[in-house]
Amino acid sequence: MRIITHTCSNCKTVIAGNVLEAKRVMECPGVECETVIRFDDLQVEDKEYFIKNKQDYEIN
Amino acid sequence: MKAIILAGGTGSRLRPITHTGPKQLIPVANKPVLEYAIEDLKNVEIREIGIVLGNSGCDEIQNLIGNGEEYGVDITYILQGNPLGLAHAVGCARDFVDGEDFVMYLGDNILKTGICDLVESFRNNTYGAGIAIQKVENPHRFGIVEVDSDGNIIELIEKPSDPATNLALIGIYVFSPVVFDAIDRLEPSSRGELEITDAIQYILDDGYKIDTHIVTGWWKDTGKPEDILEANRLILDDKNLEINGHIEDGAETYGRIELADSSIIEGGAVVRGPVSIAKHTTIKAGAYVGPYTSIGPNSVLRNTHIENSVVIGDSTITASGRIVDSLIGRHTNIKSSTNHLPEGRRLIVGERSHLKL
Repeated sequence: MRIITHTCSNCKTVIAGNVLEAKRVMECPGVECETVIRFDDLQVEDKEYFIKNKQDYEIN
Repeated sequence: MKAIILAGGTGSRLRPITHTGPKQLIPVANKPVLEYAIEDLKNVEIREIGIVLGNSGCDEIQNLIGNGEEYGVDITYILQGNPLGLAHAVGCARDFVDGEDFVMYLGDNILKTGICDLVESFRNNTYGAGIAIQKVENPHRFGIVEVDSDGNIIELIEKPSDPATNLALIGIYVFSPVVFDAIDRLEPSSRGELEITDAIQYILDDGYKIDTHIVTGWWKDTGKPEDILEANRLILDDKNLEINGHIEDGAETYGRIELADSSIIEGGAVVRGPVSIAKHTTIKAGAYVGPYTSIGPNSVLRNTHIENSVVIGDSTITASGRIVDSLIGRHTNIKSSTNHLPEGRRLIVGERSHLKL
């Protein structure tokens, strides 16, 4: 199972793919960081893999 | 060397306390559990720490810990979101770890002896991973290690129904970056999680040495109310307790007491240590605070007798009865019902509360 994350370029906070997918667009949750992060920021290959295997990233 | 602290989880066994905050922030001897982990990591000269957050409690943890400056560490946050397993949490930290060795510390653990021996052993040798283990009475609840007669690990099994040993992984690990190669090969277990025991098994199968360190001092996983009370007892037994507050004439104090500088034990009150009393708290006349009790900040106690308990803070307790073995959440008001008719106890109790009346 691929672990997909995105790292904020401003504050280095790491956000898992399941968080990005659930929110789609979010302000970076890093302390005092206002960078806007999108699910679309993931690499195309990661995004497609995540959508294809979405059930693996959900809580049972 | 870096570190990651896992601070997710729902804290379901600590409800209703965890309805309003993460379990890692419940205070033990008036210090949030998470701060004990940070302290242990600082003691082994680790300053770069990633805190892995789940779906809840993120704001509370970030508000307390911030960027780590107040603790003398550099904190990076890692949002795992859904609880997809310990190995998934580690995998999310890959960019943060950036090729270094790292400690993984479960954020609801407290150890008496810290992690110096485990970390030093790992630093002085070439291991794929290092694990802290301890004999437990309920091995089916833990990841279990099977060892040969020389103490070498043969197999790791997550929560086995029929455990071969009682040697449990207690939630403190040291990893070299090879763990990420192992995690890449994992598939979700029957409970839908990426298991860290499976990742360590891969490391072992790949021919790397695993360092095992048996923790001899006490260790507590503070996942249940009784665990919090026991951890509180253990910490109060060990902690250097100082009186910086004011003890009025006529107050009776015995044993070791921690009294914060802005707190008062008034005349007519009795405090028998070991006890910890946090800032801006007043123990008024008629109150008895007995051994192994921690009273959090901004609280007032009058008339009540309380022992072997944790009052998290911002609370007023003036009922004249005896309170024992209790974990009392923030902003709680416990008054006497004497002279109120009809006679009886008046309760406003949160969801999943536990009362013995």
